Amino acid sequence: MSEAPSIAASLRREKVFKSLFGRSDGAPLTIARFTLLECIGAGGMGELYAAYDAQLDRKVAIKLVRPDRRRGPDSEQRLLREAQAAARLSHPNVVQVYEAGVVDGRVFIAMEFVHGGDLRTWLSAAPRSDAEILARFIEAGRGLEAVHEAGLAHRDFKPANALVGADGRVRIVDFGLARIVSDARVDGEPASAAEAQVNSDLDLSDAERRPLATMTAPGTIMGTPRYMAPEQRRGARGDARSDQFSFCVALYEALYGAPPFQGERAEELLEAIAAGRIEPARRELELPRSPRAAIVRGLEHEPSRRWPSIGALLTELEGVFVVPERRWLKHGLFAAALAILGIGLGLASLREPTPRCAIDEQVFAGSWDRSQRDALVHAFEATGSRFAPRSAETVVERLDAWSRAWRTSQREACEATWIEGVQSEALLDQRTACLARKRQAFEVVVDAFVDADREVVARIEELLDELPDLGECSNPRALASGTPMPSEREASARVLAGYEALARARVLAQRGFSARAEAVAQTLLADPYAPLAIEARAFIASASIHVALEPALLGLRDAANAAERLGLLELEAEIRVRLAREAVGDWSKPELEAWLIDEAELLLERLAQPEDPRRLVLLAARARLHEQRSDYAGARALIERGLALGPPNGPSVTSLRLDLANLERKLANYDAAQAIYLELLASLRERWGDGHPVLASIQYNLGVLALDRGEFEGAQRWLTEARAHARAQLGPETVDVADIDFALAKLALSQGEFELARAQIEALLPIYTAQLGSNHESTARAHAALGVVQFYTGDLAGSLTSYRRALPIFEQVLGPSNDEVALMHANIGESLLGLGRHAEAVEACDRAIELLEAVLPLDHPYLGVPLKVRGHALLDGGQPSAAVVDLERAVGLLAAEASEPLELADARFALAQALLADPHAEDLHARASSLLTSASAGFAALGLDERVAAVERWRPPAPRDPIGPAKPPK
Amino acid sequence: MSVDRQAEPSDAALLDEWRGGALGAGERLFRRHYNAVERFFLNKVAAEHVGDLVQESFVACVEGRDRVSDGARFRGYLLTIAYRVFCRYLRGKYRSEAVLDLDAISVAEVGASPSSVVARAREQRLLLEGLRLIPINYQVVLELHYWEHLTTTEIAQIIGVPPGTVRSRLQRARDALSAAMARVARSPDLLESTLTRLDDWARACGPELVGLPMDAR
Repeated sequence: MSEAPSIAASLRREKVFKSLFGRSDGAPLTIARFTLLECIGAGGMGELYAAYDAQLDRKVAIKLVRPDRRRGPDSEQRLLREAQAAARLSHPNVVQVYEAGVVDGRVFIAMEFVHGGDLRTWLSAAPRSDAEILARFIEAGRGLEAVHEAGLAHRDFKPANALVGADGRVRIVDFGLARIVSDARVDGEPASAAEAQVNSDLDLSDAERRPLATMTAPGTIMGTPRYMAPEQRRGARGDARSDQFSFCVALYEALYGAPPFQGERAEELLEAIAAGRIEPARRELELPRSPRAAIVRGLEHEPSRRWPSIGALLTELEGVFVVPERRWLKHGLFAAALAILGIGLGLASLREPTPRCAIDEQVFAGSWDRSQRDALVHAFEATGSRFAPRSAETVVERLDAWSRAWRTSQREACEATWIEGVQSEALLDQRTACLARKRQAFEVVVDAFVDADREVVARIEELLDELPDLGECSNPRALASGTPMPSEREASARVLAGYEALARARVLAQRGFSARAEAVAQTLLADPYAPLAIEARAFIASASIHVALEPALLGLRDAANAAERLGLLELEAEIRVRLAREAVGDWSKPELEAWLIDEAELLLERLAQPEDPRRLVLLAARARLHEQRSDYAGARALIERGLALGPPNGPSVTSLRLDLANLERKLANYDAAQAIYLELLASLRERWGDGHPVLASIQYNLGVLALDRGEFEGAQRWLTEARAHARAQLGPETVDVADIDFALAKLALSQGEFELARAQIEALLPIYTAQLGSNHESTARAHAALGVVQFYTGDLAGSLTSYRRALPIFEQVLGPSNDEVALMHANIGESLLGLGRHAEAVEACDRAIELLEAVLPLDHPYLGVPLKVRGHALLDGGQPSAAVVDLERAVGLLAAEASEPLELADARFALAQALLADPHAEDLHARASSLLTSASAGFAALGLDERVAAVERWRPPAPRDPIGPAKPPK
Repeated sequence: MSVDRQAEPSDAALLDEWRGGALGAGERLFRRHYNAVERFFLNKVAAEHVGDLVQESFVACVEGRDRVSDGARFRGYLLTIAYRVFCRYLRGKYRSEAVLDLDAISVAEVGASPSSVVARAREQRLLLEGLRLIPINYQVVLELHYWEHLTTTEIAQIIGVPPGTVRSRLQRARDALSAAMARVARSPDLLESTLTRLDDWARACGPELVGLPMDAR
């Protein structure tokens, strides 16, 4: 009938006994391995004991949870699981749970013993300033945030559940323990009869009323209704949003002195909550800004209308502390100090032994805030481009994301030192200084966008690329290798200003104002702070890349070496990566380029920065090297690796995917290439808006693809569109436009419009030569193409010159056995043929075919033309039988490919002639005839009437007039 | 509770020994009477104070000079001390109040927030609640009567009233208790069932006072 005395009662008795008689009456009470010392409290969910852990020699607190007989072992299991999940959580604002288990059918939780009281007693112990109250609650909120991030919820947040330790730190406790039982509707189960009855049995007046915590029947547990979220009252299990509600109720009450919702009885209260009827403020808060709006949002009846996370709410609350007009915060010199709440903002009343790491919301005031956002959007729209609004949106998103990441970085850095105590102050200073520089660079980019003109909008991806990567500031190896900032205020201010200037110079260069950019950088060359001077040097070198490649590369290398000598690992890595990127593909020294990549990769390995975006850059560079060597498969593998590494968005990924598509195209996987291009087009359009010049490059590629497939109409469409966009946004003298023009020229060429093609190529050659240099691959290609056109317009000598200009560049850039080199030989052969130099022509074609057969399969279309030419040359040289062999192959190959109708017609014509000339092939005259017909038709389709006439002249007379083969006219 | 006088020393003897410094005697006295003292405080003060008050009572006991002549009257003696300790506690805690009239004021009014006891049955619950709502002296009288089986003389001595008045007090106390329970009970059936077997319920409460403390604020 009677129960064994509870643990609390036993402890009490034990304590009295001991104090009277100086010894224990019987064995000390234990729970698992812990020895109970005394009962230090009791609450709705159970009792709290001080205990001793002999194994680890420390005092702990043990919560012994009240058994819930009604709910049975399931709820116990759930509680245990949650407690064990809580044990894995480690956060300064959460009481550390050590262990959880079951003893005598009751769940116990062993946790950190916190000396001190709880927030409730703290609030009433003495008058507290609003700032102190808010700061404490924010800490408690951070604890809740940690709990939520671990996938748990507190479900019974109230000031009594927030402990204030003697060290001043707020820690939340008892999360997940609350098992709220409401009238008769709990998760669909009926509440126990006894529970329901207890409420209805007793009707006490206010004087007699005790908190509901006492009104329990056996085995029931009630939460604290005052803080309960409405959905919880209705029986739902609490979650992060209901925690938010409870938090806001408690905070409101603490600040304003009365709860936000009033109601005599439960129904009235619920109704007030549903209606959002919040009591008017009873007092003015003494805070720089009002937290009311933020708190009120957390009190929304509908959980989805509250803040999306408690973290979002806390960020708003932290923003309350800062006086709005502190514009000097922008200059970042005191960013470190001010990010630590309470220091420097005059909140002396906080009297805390440790500073808090609240985010200074105003750190971006004036540089990236609402008015800047508006100015940016306005500037974009003012360019009048129809894609401006969409581009503006995307840019704003990116800038917001960056600033958020920055804030998180700053806070983490601060917490590591002040809250977690795992980082030295010196390291914190370095991280802060690093972040200050990054922030400056960010602001410079923002300025460029806010000041946007058409050029800026066109170069949007490149400019966004200038947003600094924050990884350096959390990478201990990068920081360790840096030079500490000078300690005197003036000197450090000068250095910071120098970095800002450099960031401005970069943006200027991106916008095309290279002279100005260089001028700015020049002033920094002599700065005594070595890293700054070296970076300036590197910048100046890279700015002159387009003027003279090799000197620029050497300049970059010098800067890298300087950084290496000073042990500036991060800076050296940065410069060498840039060096590799600039050199590869353009220097025409593939072995050296490969070495540059190797060196840069080595440095990145040493830095071991997680998710280093520079890895992608190097992979892309290596892929380009492979591509130039015709190792397309190798290049593709590298690109795929790069794509697997990186995040799914961002300019480097876009360009990688473009590279991949181009590769697929070169590998003749046209469908795969097209798919990627179209996908890219769609996603870029989505990101930047319809008509943005960045789309032009994709359209160009689609045009080239169509060209490769022989879809001339499609090619024309794409290329024309691309050209229109590019010209409009970038101007006519740019390489981008020249590339498009080149493709158009090739299109014209394929369609037999030689004059047009020649005009186009002659127009773009100077652009290439000027912008890329006379030894650049693209320049060579232009020469080659010009040669082709000259050939077809009969300027054979000119074509030879052009080809011979292109050939050495190809050999150097692409390697002597590259297939394009081979084709160049073939073209030379063709011109020589046309000039009647048969023997040389055969020689040239031998070379071509030899090279091609070494790397390509025997039925590769590229073999068609050289075979044709050699065949022709052999024919002209009086070796028709040999000619027939080559020409048969040529016709076969060219007929299979649709993209060279001119060549095909030509080959057929030649084969016909060879057959007619071959003494061993007299029975093939019929075939020759049909070949002539096809050739004629082919030329006619291209509108080449002269050729048609030439073919016709070759037609042998009707068989009844057998005449020997006529000499081929010339 | 019956004492075998042959085998066991009487309470009075133990007390003498304890006062003489024999802790062992004190321990045995403690084991015999601890529950009674604990019960006395459980329904009147907050859980965290029960231990201290119990201790104070025992300490006062061993340090007192009054002699307990009849061993069987030790419990009464101890409870008298407990009562005085309680009064002193109230005075100390509620200094701002005027002299507390324990004939008029109840534990609930004083706001002493006694520990809430978890009783098995609803009737017991109602009863315990009712006890807190009646004047303290009535509460004491009833509890001593039902739980400790003390004589009217002993009860009189404890609360310091003439012995002859105890019986009528008991009656008035029961009436007050019924009235109090009637006021707070929402279910007439519950009230009915409690009152019908009030004695039984009341008696059962005592030994069953599990005393699971709860935070009463």
